[in-house]
Amino acid sequence: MTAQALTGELKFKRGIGLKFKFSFAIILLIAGVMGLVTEVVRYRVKDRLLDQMMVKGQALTRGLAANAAEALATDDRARLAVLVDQVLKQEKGIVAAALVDENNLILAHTNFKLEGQVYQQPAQAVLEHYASGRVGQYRLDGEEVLDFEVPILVSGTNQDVRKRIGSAHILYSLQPINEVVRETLTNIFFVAVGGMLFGILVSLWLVNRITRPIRRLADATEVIGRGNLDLRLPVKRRDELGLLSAAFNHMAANLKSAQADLIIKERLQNEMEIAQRIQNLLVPNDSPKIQGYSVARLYRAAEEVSGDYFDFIDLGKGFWGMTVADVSGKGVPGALVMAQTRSVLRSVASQTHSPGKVLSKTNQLLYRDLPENMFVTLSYLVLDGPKRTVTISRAGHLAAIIYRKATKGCELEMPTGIAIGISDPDTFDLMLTERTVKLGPGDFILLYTDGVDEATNTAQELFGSERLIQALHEAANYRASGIVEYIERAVHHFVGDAPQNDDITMILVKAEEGEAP
Amino acid sequence: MKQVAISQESKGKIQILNVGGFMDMREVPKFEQALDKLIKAGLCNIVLDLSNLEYISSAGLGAIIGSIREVRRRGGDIKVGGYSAPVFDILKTFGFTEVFETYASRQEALKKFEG
Repeated sequence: MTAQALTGELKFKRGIGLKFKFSFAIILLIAGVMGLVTEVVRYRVKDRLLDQMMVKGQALTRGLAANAAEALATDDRARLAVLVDQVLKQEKGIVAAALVDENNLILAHTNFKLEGQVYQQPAQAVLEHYASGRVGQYRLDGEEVLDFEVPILVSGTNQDVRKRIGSAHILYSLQPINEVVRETLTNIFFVAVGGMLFGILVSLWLVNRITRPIRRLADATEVIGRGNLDLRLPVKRRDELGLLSAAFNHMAANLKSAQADLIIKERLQNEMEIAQRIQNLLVPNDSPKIQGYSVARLYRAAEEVSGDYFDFIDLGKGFWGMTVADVSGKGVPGALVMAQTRSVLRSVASQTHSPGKVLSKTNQLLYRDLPENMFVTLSYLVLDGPKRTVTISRAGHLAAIIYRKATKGCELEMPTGIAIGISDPDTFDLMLTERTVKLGPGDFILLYTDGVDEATNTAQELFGSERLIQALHEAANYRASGIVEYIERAVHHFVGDAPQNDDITMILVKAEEGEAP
Repeated sequence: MKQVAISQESKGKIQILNVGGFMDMREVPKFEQALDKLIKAGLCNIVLDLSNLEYISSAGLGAIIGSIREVRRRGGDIKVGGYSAPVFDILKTFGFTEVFETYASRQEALKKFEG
C-alpha cells in the first residue's frame, strides 16, 4: 500500500490558470489604451487636416471668384474655362471647379459636359457660412466632397449695394484626409498588436517566474502531506515567495518535531498500557477468605507510574504468605522486574515459613539479574492462622503497622533489612531480621506502599504516616474491608484535585473476635 | 511545583554534588544526568550533599544505586556527606545506609575519601 493510498488523492479541479488570466488582463489593458489613443488620434488628425483644407479652400475659391469677376461681367466663356482648368491643377485634393451665373447656371466647369446646366447641390449640404462665402459637404458620385462657394459681386448703380452676378465653386475631395486617418489608424493598430504580443510574452515570463516556485511549493506540500517531513525548499528569493518558502520550511520543521513528540508520547503511552496490563495480570483479583480473619486489599494504579504489586500465597495448613512490594522503576522494565520478583518469591515461599529465608533467597536470585538502577522494596509476612501469629521481614520497605485493640495503640514493625537488588547476599543477609508478633482479637496488621503516606495534595503536602494512623484509629472497629475503604476515602479527601502520582497499595489482615480456628 | 536544584563543586579529585529541593519521579532525570556527566568525565569520587533535600523518591535512590556500581567498578565511590532528617529516614528505611557510606557532614565524607 502506498502512502498516497493511505492519505487519499489531492482533490483539485484545475480551472483557468494564472498565465491565461495575466495574459488576458494585459491584452485588455493594452486594447483599452489603444482604443483610447485611436479615438483621440482619429479626431485630432482629422480636425487638423479639415481645418487646413478649409483655409486653403476658402483662399483658392476667393482667388477664383476675384479672377473670374471681370470675365463673368463680360461673359468671356473662354476665359472662364481657362480659370477653372487652372484651379484643377493647383492642388491634388481638388476634384472640380465651376463658375455659375446669378441663376446658378453653369458657365464654366472642369467637367465641361455640365456647362449650361443648373448647378446641383443638395439642399442640406451647407456646413458653414463664413465672411466671404460658404462651404457644403455632401456625396458626389460616391465620393465625399467639400464644396466651397464664393459669390462674385460687382458694384451696382447704388454705391452701397453690391450685386451678385455669379459664384465660384471649388470641390475638394475628403478622400486624402480619410486616407491619412486610415493610415494612421493602421499604424496604431499594428503598434497595438505588437504591444499585446510583447505584453503576453512579458506576462508569460512573469507568471512563469511566479508560478514555478508556487508549483514547487504545491508539489512540496503534497510530499509533506504524504509524510515526508524532511523536505526543505531552497530560499533564494527575498520577496514574498521567498518568505513563503521560508515559512514552508519552518512549518515542515515544526511538523517534524511535533510528529516526533507525538511518536514518543504514543510509544510511552503504549508502553504504559502494556506495563499496566502485565501488572493487572500479576496481582490477585480477590482477597483470600481465611477462617477467623478478615482480609482486604486496595490497589489503585497511578496513571503513569506503575511499580506496586501485592500477593497472597496459600502455604497450606492455615499458613498464608502475604507481600506488598514497590519496584523502583516504571513502564515495561518495571513490570518485568515485578513479574520476575513475583515468580521468584512465590517459588521460594512454598519452601519455607520463614520470611527472612524467603527474602534472603529472593535477593540472592535477583541481585545479579535486576537492572543496575532498579531495586525492589517489599514487606513479606507469614500468617500462622491457627496460632494467630505473624512473622514479618522487610526488604527496605515501609514499616508494617499493627493496631492493638486492647491498648487502642499502633505499633510500627520495622525489622532491619535492605531493598532487594542493591546489595550482595552477604550484606543483605547480615542486615535482615525477622519479627514475630501475636495478634489478639480485633488486632490488625497493615502493609502498604509509599503511595499512601506520600499521597500529595495541591499544596504539595504529604498525607504522612500520622494521618494514616489517625485514620486507622477512627476505623478500627470495622472489618478489614471497611478499614481499607476508610483509609482510601481519607487519602482521597486529603489529595483533592491533585493528580495521583504513585500507585496506592495496601493489604490488611484483621483477627476477628472469637476463638482462633 | 517543587523542583530539584543541583550545583557542583570540586575539592581536588573529589566532586561534590549539592542536591536540594524535592526529588519526585519527575525530577529524577535531572539528578541522573548530573551523575552521568561526572561519571562520563571520569570523575568517580563523588560526595552527595543532601542537606537541603526535602524528599527523594525511590527512582532517585535507583539513580544513586545505578551510579554507585558504575563508579565502584572504576575504582571510585559515592558517599553521602550531609542529609536532612526526612531523607535520612528514607535512606534508612530502604536499607541504603548499609549499601553506601553516609556521613552527617560533607567534611567527614571528604576526609574519608582523602584518608
